[in-house]
Amino acid sequence: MDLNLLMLISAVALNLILAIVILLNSFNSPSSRYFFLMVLGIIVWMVSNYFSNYLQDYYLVLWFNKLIFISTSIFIWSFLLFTDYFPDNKFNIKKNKYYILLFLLLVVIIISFSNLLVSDISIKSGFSEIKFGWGIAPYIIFFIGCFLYSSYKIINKYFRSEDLSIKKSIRSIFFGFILSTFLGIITNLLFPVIFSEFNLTNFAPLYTVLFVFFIGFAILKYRFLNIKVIATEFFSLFLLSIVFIEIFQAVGLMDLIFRVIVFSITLVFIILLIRSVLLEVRRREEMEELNKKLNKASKELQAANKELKRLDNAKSEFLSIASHQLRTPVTILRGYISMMLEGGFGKMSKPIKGKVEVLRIAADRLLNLIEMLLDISRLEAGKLEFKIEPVDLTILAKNIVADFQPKAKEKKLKLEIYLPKEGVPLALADAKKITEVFSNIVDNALKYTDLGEIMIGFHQEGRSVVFTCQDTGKGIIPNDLSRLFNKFERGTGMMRVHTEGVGLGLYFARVVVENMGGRIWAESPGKGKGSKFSVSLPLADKSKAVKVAA
Amino acid sequence: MPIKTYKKYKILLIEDEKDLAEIFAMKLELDGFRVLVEASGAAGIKTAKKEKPDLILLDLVIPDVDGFMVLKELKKDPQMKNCLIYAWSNITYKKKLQAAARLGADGCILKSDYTPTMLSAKVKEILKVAN
Repeated sequence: MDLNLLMLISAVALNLILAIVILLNSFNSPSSRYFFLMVLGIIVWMVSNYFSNYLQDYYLVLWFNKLIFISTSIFIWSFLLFTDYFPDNKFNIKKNKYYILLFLLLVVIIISFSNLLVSDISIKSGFSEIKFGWGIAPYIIFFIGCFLYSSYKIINKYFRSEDLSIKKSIRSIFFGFILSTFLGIITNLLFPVIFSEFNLTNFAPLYTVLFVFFIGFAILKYRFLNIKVIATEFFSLFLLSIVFIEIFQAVGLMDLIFRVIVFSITLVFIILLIRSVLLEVRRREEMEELNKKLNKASKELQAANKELKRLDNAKSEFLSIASHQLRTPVTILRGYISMMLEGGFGKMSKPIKGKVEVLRIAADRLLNLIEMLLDISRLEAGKLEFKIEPVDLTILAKNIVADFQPKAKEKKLKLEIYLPKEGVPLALADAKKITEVFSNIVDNALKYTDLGEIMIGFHQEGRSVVFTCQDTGKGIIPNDLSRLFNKFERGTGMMRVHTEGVGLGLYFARVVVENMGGRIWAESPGKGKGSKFSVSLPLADKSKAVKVAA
Repeated sequence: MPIKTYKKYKILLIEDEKDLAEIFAMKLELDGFRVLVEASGAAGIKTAKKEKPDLILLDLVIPDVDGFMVLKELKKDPQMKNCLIYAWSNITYKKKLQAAARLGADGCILKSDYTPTMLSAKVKEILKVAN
């Protein structure tokens, strides 16, 4: 077999195998389908080129010459569409554009078929000389036009893309193109011209393999496929084609049967191998897809997190403005009321002074309510800070009792504080916030007691100081006891008696007390039998801890 | 008479809430301080530089030039170095209060925590005058 034919067969086989492998691995991608068409164009061109030079029959040589122009037109046309699709694999070509391109290709093919392009040939030894008609002009325009457009497209994609894998793939296409052109120039131009060495020109068909290989690599690389998998397929098909060619070289029937059996076994083996490889490819693609989704989800999460932080800041800002706006009118109210009570606007009669005192308590309660609402918002936003220090709880309780005394008197209730003889040790607490908690408890006791007394007491229990507030009021049913400290919860039936509470006071008390390392709970023997609220807070001086009686 | 005791202390109250300014100024005056009231940042800066008060109670949320800018402007003036400036606000947002401290505020007073009498006592404590 002469070297040219051997090179041709090798190049055709390698190109075909590469094209099939790539098509099989990315069948759904339009760019790889046009790539396949492109490779077919190259193969037909190589075969036609060979026969146009080596055959002697006029008509056959004429038609093979025409086929050269048809196949190169198909090649450059497919290359253009390939670059249009690659690497997005989306249908990003407008239908009109596609039909125009298809029409132009058909025109060029018809011209190539007719005698307008290759009008005549003369057969020389080893090659054929072509006589061109005017049809060569539209062919050249078509070919160069397609080439320039494809180059522009791919270069543009390279610079516009921010995806590194796309850039790498395009670089691979450039590399394949430059390498095959470079080798072509060396063996088919430099060696023949400078050294008069023509034998190397026989290698030319193999350069197309390099070109096809690098483009194929680019397609598959973009699709994140494992090159090992591709190599397996490539060599399997290569092996199969060798075994297939072997059949035609059989000598005798037995040899033929043997070779057919070998081919059949190889075929089955390769089918199984390729199927398993395809399965793996699919799995890999699924994994990549999952990975992409995961990355996308992760990016979305990051964005959501950023938005949450922004909202969190907006909430803090809002709280700041709201607290400012809510506090200001109350500050004015309290300012005037206290000045009136102090005689800043002249002496008031006793009944009027009594009513202004009611106003003062209402204003203080309003301020407490505002503080509590803002504190709850801050607490939930994780922005409430506690200033925990040793506090004499009895002083706070005495002030609270004094504050609520007018209200107790109005309801004819006895409101008293009982302190143990041995005194009450200091507790660890935020004085301002624990005052709000105690006030809430005493206020509730006053609200839900119509007859009898409210007793405030303190005692030490192990490592804690316990505040208690016992009343002879409506009591709490067992079901309510557990829910009392939840947000927006109020005892059954209490809604009907007192409508002003929003059910936040005890929730706030629980959260605040727990944040100080303490505990709050309620006890009641039942409906109509009064209730007892207790708050235990840690001792400031642990050395004063006492043993709890069993 | 204690009233004369504090007459030499000049207090500038920069506060845009008219009623609030009035009641607190009234109490401070009753207790014998000289009180100047301004309702905007720009007017506050002007009066402060002219009168050089002993203490400025500066609301942080005020029209035109806000409290933070007033603080910055007054604290960089060497002639105001003997003047104490307290942020006088209902703002409890920590970042804002920290910003005021960074700008050189001598202290912070949460308005809603104080009645006029309590403020007067606080002012006496700040100026170290006998109560």
